Amino acid sequence: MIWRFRRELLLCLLLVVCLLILRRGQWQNSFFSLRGMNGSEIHLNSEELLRENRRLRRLLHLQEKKLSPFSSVVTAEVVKIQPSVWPGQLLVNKGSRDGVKPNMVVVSPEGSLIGRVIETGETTATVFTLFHPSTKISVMVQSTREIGVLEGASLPYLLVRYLPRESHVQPGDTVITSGLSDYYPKGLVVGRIYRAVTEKNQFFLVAWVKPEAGFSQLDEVLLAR
Amino acid sequence: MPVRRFLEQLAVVVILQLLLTRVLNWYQLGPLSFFVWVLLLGWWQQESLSIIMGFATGLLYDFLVRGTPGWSSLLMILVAYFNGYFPHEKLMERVAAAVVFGLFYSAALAVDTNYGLVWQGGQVIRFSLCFAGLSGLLAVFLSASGIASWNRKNYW
Repeated sequence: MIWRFRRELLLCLLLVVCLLILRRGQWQNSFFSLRGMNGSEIHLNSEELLRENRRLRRLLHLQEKKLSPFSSVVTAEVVKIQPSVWPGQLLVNKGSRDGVKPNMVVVSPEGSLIGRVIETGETTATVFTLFHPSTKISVMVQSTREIGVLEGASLPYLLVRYLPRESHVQPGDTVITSGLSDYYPKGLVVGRIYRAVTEKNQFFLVAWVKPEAGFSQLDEVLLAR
Repeated sequence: MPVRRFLEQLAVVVILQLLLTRVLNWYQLGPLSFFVWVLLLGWWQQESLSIIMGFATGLLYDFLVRGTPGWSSLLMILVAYFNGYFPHEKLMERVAAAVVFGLFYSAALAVDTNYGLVWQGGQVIRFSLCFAGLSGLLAVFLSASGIASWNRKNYW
């Protein structure tokens, strides 16, 4: 009797395994786990305090502007970046106790996209940036309205794939989020086109994008939902 | 299926996939030999094996192309399962099965489980049609060629 339904049983079993793998996700990135970090060990001198004050005022100004697509915004300090150049992962000093939840969007004080919250601890949260190898975001070239997929792991630039081959994108064109991806609202600035190439025998156009957020000067970020 | 024959097929599929992706990568649209193999196993009355290999090759493919782990596997086992119920005695039925499942598989690849739909509609349709057509052609070519008789070869 059971043998008769072996295919169905096999299907159900493997479906469950697939769903577990999907849910677990990101296992290839577990090497970079930053769990257990404590963000309180930051020593500031007076110059630092002055600079921080200026930055926080800028953040406050941005928050007052309400970051229109978001309903709630949390300001956080970056306490660890990894690797130190073109970071794929950040640790910020706000966690679930402060209302931070997985999949919140992370933006710079200027309002450009940095990444997404992947995991939250009680007092910290892990963020995957645009440079992270697992990044795939639906983006749009603002001038031509063409949609592509932004991918990380093409340092020092980001890569936009699947733009139409006949696209007329130009270096300097602004790339924004398209709103088709689940977690990113439409219109967040991602970066500017650095170079666009239509290679021979390729179905799509490939563009390299310089991110708008200054990844070398990450002090505070906004976590928004 | 004898283990030796299975291993031979696996080797052929992996080599073919490497050839397709490295040498014959025409407009990034090379057919996916793992996908074709899963269809062929179903047509050769190896439905259970086809589901298992759909899972394994899907996971391998996700790993190779750094896709979302588990997504290709999930699609492949669904393809393998429903392929078992799809009529495949005549050549035209096999063409239809390959195209239908090719369309389903390639269109679903435009959805990233972490991020939602990541391609534009027009591109998804064009890509799916090309992928389904090429995979269908390869599947039908392989099933109609000498591989079928090779599959029936008696080792034992």
